[in-house]
Amino acid sequence: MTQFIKVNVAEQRVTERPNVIQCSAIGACVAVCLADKELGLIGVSRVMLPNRADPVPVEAPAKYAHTAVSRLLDDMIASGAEKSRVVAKLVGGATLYPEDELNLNSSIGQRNLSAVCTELSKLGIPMISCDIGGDYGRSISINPDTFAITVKTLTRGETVI
Amino acid sequence: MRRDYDGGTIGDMLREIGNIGCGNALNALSSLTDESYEIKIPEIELIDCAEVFTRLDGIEQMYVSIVINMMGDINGKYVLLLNPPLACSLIKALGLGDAGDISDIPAESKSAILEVGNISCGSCITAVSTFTGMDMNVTIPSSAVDMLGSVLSQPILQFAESDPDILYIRCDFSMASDPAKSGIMLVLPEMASVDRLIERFGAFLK
Repeated sequence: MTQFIKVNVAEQRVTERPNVIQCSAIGACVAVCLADKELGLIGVSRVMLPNRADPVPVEAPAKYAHTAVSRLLDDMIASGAEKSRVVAKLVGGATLYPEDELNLNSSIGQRNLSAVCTELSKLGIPMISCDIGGDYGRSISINPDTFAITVKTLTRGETVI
Repeated sequence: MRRDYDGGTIGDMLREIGNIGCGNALNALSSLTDESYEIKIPEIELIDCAEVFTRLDGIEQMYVSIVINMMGDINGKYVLLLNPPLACSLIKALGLGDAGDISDIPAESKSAILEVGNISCGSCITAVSTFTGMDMNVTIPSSAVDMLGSVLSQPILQFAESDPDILYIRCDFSMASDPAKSGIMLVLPEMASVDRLIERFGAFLK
């Protein structure tokens, strides 16, 4: 029976078909979605912040980009994924209050995105699709068979990436 | 060791300050709209920033948010969250007619909403500053209309960058004549400011 698994901010989950992973109301966070399509294996880490100087507590690896992406890949591999088959999709990193971060070069959402992209390229995982940036929130639902991600918004309808 | 922020005398003191701030903010809303509001007892708790998102019901519901940064002796954020019926009726009370689709509000209605945020936040910090004798200023407000979780994301994440913990002061309220018109007020002081406040009141707490 299909389970619908909710992933909250700073959480990480890996599951396989027929289970569906969902994230509600993503704003400036970035949902890093990985899949090994051959196995129907999917994983999501809902990254909250780019990096942290001091060591990240073990119980919160999904919180920071620099630990979240490699931890998620490790968990995918531990569940049977073949690293060469793993691909990524990104959702989120929005800036809902552009005027609030004028004093910085980029908003927290943009900094999250660039930190996640750096980690993906370090690990050699190709990013095949994304729905990122903008000034609106997104909710996602990931199909484990096709790795199609349905992105729902309140004001801009629904897209599939 | 972490201070016991949500229990004991310190908790009582912070709860009282929360009460004064939220009560005054709602009084201001009340006189602005000529309506009275039912106010719940403010919740106050020290939690992990990520937990803010799991504590709110209806995270995908549409909300109008107004975010204001507080500066001075107390740094932090003031966030006013209005559900669409309440936002529409505030806009109407300010003489701007029917807002219609709140996700696409005209510029003048948006500035009315920002003004509502300004006035309520102003009353909140004036009361807190008078009570505590601490200087406080505010920045100009910014506003967004989207899912509850999404409008809160940026301010909470900015917070989490400097401190993983947050002193979560939350007050739910609704219009007395129509409880479906409701909102949430969040007052989020930085931990360093809370410590400063506790030091100032330390003499009375012993």
